[in-house]
Amino acid sequence: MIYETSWLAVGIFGVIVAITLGLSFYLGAKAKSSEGYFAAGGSIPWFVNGIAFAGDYLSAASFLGICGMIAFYGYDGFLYSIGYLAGWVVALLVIAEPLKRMGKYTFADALDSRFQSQGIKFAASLSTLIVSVFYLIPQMVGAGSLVKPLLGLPYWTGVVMVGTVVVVIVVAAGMVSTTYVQFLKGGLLVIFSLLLTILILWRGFTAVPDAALTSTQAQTVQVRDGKTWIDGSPQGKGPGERDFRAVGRVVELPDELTATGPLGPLEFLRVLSRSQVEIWSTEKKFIDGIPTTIYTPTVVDGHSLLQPGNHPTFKGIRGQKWTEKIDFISLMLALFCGTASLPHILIRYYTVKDQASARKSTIVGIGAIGFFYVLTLYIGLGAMVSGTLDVTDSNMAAPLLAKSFGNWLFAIISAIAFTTVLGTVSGLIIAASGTVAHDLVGGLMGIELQGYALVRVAKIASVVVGAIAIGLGLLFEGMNVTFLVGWAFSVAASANLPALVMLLFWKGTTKTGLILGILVGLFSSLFWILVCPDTFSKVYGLPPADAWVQLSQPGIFTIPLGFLAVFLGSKFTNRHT
Amino acid sequence: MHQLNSVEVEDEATINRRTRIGLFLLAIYGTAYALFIGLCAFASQLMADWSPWGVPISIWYGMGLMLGAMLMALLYGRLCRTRSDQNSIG
Repeated sequence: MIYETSWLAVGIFGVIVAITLGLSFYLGAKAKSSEGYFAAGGSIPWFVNGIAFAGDYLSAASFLGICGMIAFYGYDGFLYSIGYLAGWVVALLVIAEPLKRMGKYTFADALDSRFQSQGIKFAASLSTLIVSVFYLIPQMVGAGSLVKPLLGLPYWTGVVMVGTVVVVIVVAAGMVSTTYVQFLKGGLLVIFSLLLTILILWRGFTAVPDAALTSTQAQTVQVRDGKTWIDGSPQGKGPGERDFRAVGRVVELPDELTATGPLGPLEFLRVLSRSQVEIWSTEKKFIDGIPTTIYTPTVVDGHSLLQPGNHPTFKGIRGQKWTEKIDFISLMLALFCGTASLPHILIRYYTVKDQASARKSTIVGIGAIGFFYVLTLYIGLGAMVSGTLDVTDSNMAAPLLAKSFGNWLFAIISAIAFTTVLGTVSGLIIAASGTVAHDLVGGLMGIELQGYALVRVAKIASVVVGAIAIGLGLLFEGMNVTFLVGWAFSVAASANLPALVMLLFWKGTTKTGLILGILVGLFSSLFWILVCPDTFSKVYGLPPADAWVQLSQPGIFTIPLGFLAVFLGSKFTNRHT
Repeated sequence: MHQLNSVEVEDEATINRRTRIGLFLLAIYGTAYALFIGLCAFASQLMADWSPWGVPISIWYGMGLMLGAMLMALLYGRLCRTRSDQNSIG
C-alpha cells in the first residue's frame, strides 16, 4: 500500500495556509497604493527578495518533476537542474540591473521605456499572458495530482483549493503578500531539502537482492469499465483486490557489501556508480484489445545512471540521429535563455529599492536556487533506491522518499509541495493581472486609471486569471508537468529575450523592431509547439511521424528568429524614418 | 545608519563598466555551458569513460557548472560593489 491519507500533512498544510492568509490580510492593510500593490512600493529587503526569487522560481516542476525524473532515469533529470540554474547567470549578468532601471510595474514597462508605444505594450502584455498561462497549467495540474494520493480527495478539489487560496493571497495585498509567501516557501523548501539529503547520506545504501523480495515481476495496469485492474485483479485494499507495489532498490553493492552505513556526498556517488540498481520502464500496448500499461524492472549499472541519455526525451544523445541531438541542444538553449524572460520573475526586480538591491537579491537567489538544485541529485538518487517509488507517478518520488524516514517528514514535505504550487501560482497571477490592468486597460485601451482604481482592476483581473487557471487545470488533468514547463521556457525565450537584449545593446533598435521581434518569437514558437512530434503523440494522440516538423523543441530556431525579426524590423523602419 | 536605506545613484561610466564585466563573465560561463552541452550531445561516450576519483565526469562537470554559477554571481557582486555598498555593509 503506497498511499494513505495523511492527516498530519493536512494539518501542517492547513497551518501554512492559515499563516500565509493571515500574513496577506495583515499586509493588505498596508498596500493601498498601486505602487504598493504591484511592486511592494520597492520596499522589500534584498535578502528577502532573493529568497522570494527561489520561492517564485522553484515550482512543482523543479521539486516534484526533477526529483521524480532523477529517481526514475538518473542523470537526465539533473540536466534540467543545470539548465534552470544556468539561466539565472543570464538574468544576473545581463538583465537584472537594466530592468530595474527601466521599468516600474511590468515587463512591458521596461521594453516601452524608450518609445512610449501602445504597440510594444500590447505585444509585451500578450506575451506575458501567454507565457503565464503556459506556466500556470502545470502548476494547477501538480496541485490536483498531489491531493489525490495524499489527502484522498478528488483531483478537482486540489485545483480549486490552490486556485482559491492563491487568488485570496494576491487580492489581499498583491506583491507584498506574494513576496512573503514566496519567501516562506523558498526558505522551507531549501531547509527541508537539506534535511532530506542529510538523512539520505546518513542512511547510505542497503542491498536488497532478488531472494529478499516477494516479487520482482512486472506490474500491468488496465482500465476496464471505468475500473483500474492491476495484474488481473481490481485495484483496492480489500480481499481479492490488489494495489501497486512500492519499488526502488539497490540489487548489489560493490565489494560484496550488504549495507554501507553513513556516506559522505562524494562517497555516495562513488558507491552508487559501482552498484547494480533496479529501475522501471513503462510500455503501453493493447492486450486483447484493451489498452494496457506494463511497468517492467531492469537491473542496470549505477555508472550508466550517472550519464545522460536514459530518459526517452534524451535517448537521442546516445544515438546517431542528428535531429535528436539538435532537439536536446534546443531544449538546453531554451532553459539557458528562458529564465531571464519569464514575466513573473522579471517583475520581482521592481520590488527592491534600486539596481544594487536588484543585483544583490539575484545573487542571493542564485545561491538558494543553486544549492537546492545540487540537492535534487541526492534526493532523486535517494528516492531511486528507497523502496517507496510509485511506478505510475514519478512526481511523487520526493514525498514518498520522505515517507521512508517517517510520517512526520512525509507530512512536512507534502505540505511544502503544496506551498511550492502556492508560491509560483501567486507570482504568475500577479504578473498576468498586472499586465492586464497596467498595460492592456491602462496603456492600450487608453483608460486613465490612477491609484486604487488601477489596483481594483488588477484585483478583478486576478480573480478572472485565477478562474481561468482553475479551468485549465481541470482541462489538462494527466498532462506531464515538466513537459509543459519546457515549452513555457521556449516561448518566453523566443518572444521576450531577443527584444530585451536588442533594446539594451543595440542603439538602432526601433519600436517596430521590438513589436515584430516579440510577435515573431511568440507566434513562431507557439506554432512550432502545435505541430511538433511531442504534441502530436502526447496531446492529439496521433503518430509523431505525422508531425509537420521533426524537432519538438523550437528554441534553437525561434530564438534566433526573434533576434532577426528585431534586427530586420529596426533596419527597415530606421531607413524609412 | 541612513546609508542602509540610501538608493544607489549610478553614472554612465559605472553602468558601462558593469555591463562590460557582466558580458565578460557571461562569455566565460556561456562557453563552459556550451561545451557541456556539446559533450553530452556529441561525445557522450567520453563522459561515460572518464571517472576521476571514481565519480563520472558528467557529475563533476554538472556540479562544476552549478558551483560555477554561484561563484560567478559572487564574483560579479564583488566586482560591482560601490563605495556606498561597502559603507552600508561596514
